[in-house]
This record gives sequence, C-alpha cells and structure tokens, in this order.
Amino acid sequence: MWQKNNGKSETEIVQNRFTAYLATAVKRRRNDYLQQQDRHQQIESLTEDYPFLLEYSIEQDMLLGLPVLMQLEDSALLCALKELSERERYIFLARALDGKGFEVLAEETGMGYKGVSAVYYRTVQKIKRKIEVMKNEF
Amino acid sequence: MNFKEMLLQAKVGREPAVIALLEMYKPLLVKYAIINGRFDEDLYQELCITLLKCIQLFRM
Repeated sequence: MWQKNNGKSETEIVQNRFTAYLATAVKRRRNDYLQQQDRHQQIESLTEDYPFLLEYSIEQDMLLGLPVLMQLEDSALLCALKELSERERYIFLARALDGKGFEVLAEETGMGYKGVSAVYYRTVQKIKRKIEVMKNEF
Repeated sequence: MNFKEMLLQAKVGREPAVIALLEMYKPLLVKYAIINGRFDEDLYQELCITLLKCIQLFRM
C-alpha cells in the first residue's frame, strides 16, 4: 500500500537519500547527453551549411529579428552560453545586452546585490574559459 | 519488503529487487527523458543505466 514518506523512520530516510542521489545523477547524465547531441548536431550541420556560407553576408540584416541565441555567429560563445544554467544565462544576457543593473536584477531574481554580481562575474569567467578551450580544440 | 531491504538486495544483484526499483523509479526516469516535450528513447535507456549504476554506488 502506498504511504506518504515522512522521512521519519530509518528506511524512509534511506529512500529519500537514494532518491536525491539518483535525481542528481540522472540530471547530470541528461546534461551530458544534451551536450553530446549538440556537438553531434554541430558537426553534422557544419558540412551541410558549407555551400551556403557565401549567402551569409546577404542575410545579415535578416538575423536581427531572431532570438539572441540564433543571431550569434561565434559558435564558441554560443556553445559556452548553452552550457550555463538558466539563471546564469539570464543574468549574463540581461546585464550584457539589456544593460540592466545589478540592483534591478537582484530584485528580479530575489537574490542579494552581491549574489547577483558574484553570479555575473563567475559566468563571465566560465564563458572565457570555455571559449579558450574551444579555440585550442580547433 | 521495505525500501532498505530492497536496495540491499538489489545491491547484491538480486534481479527481482532490481526490477522493483526500476519500476518504482520509472516515472522519475521518464520525466527526465523528455526533451523539448518529446520522449527520448535513447536518453531513457541511458538513465536506466544510470539508475543501475546508482544502486551499485550508493552508500548506505
């Protein structure tokens, strides 16, 4: 019979711990899988897009209407942005593109001023490191 | 059989216990196997493997 898990008895504690453990592992595996798929897609589309490269310059102004992530031509930056968490990406883009201040962002996200600035600068570091790694790869 | 016993048996490799755990956590695995609103079969398999690994690696 199904019973609510109150986390009181020993076995319930073990179960809760195991579920949390499993959830973390599953999330990480999922992230890895998504990145893997991304990479595959990039490799696949590289060869396909090659003949159309010449037309890119003409379509420049068409890109302006697209969402931010599709406007980027720098694939290293794009890759780095994709790997960030939702919160990091939001804070980074809002500050870098929309020019929102840390105070405004702090209010929006419910974090402190220091928290937001810490997240922002950490994100910048992450992106820099990622781009560095990507450049060395090619 | 309570959860702890089940986990211990699964750790030793008793198949019924492993299957019971897999059934138990199926909804969680299915939830995480959905990408952009679509169920990804391959990812689901990977997550099942992750569950089996977790059973082995989890320390009581």
